[in-house]
Amino acid sequence: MYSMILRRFPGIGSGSLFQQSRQVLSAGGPVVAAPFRSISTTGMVALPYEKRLGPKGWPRYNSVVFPPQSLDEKRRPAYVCHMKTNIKYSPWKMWYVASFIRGMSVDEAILQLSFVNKKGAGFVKQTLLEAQELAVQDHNVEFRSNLWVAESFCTKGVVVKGIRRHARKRVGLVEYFHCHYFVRLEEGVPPKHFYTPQPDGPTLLQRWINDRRSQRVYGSF
Amino acid sequence: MKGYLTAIALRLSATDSIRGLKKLTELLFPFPKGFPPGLAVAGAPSTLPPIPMPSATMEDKKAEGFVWGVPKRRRSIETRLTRKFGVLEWHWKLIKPKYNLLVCDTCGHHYEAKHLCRNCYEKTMEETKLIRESMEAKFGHSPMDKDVIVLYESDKQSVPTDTTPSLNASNKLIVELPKNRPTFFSPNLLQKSTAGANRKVKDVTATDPVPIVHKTPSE
Repeated sequence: MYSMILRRFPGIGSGSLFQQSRQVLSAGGPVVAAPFRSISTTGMVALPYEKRLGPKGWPRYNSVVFPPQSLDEKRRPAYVCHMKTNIKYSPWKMWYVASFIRGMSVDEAILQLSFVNKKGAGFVKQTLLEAQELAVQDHNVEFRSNLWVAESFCTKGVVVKGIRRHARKRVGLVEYFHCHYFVRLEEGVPPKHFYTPQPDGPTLLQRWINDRRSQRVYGSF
Repeated sequence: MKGYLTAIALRLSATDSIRGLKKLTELLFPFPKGFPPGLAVAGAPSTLPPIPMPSATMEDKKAEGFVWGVPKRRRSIETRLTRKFGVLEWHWKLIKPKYNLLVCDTCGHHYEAKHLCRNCYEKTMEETKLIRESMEAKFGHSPMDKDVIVLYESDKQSVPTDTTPSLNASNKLIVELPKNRPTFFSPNLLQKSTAGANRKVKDVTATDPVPIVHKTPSE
């Protein structure tokens, strides 16, 4: 879990939004006593086929309660984490759809996904619409359009193995892949560049000049 | 799909299904290396006399095997990146956003430029399906040798003009639908055009088109 990697107890308030939420989680904040562990299951043992399979950590970020901000600090934007687990689609194919919508506003992402000719696009669009609803109903977001895709990624889910025939009585293994899709919507206007943009001509030229100027010819006078 | 379902069934059937699956795979692939050793490559018979190998032992002979389905070389970073992202000029694998999306004036949904609005088209498909069902219900599968007229409730109520289908036509097959005429299905669409097999016939005259009056769309 991220909390193991980014354990910054004294510095809660510094760092990115997500680092802060992870800090709160790792510090054993109020989330630990959250619904997931407080449901009493005395007398009822979940049968193997009743257990909810798949990742559970991602929606826990929604129940993080941050400490109050000081007046100097910038207002922390609202966010909502949502996921769809065990989608019957290859994670390597889903990656293209997940990476496509990063940094887009929610409306733009939903519109563009309607015209993407991939099976995974339907699932991602559904997840976005659900997340939008959750944001407005539960997470104090005023306008459903005032959201952008801050994080969008997918991981491998259940793999069901099957058998197929080959020629000459040989047998082959068939793998039916599933994937999990995770999305985080943040309130506000999307940034101009989600990734660092390509440097423009003058910047590249200056870099080249600097490289040439720092060049040293060894063995010369 | 069938293979996927059987695989799912296998997985869910037994309580210790994972153990069962392991046993199954062991049955199918009982060999330690995973492949039957007997199927060696049958090379061409050598005409030369066999060269005596002084250090040839049983273990060496076993090691001189044929290697199945194994990578010959490490995939270079260029190969890997090309497989994942494609080549910009020829086949870019990343999804490109579309900038040719417009808003339909009729329904408000988005559609791609130079394509039909999907929402509107689906509505016409629904209406066509309804007409076809009612035609099948009334006339069955017998051949239709006369013109088919679709009559809506609003057609019966409105004042008859040149293009509104008449009820008492004997040379026409009439299909009645218990609903109002949709706004996109103008009666002008059913008027006969002059283009036909016999253009030299002069006694056939086309009716003048009636100007379409835009009404408020009914809910």
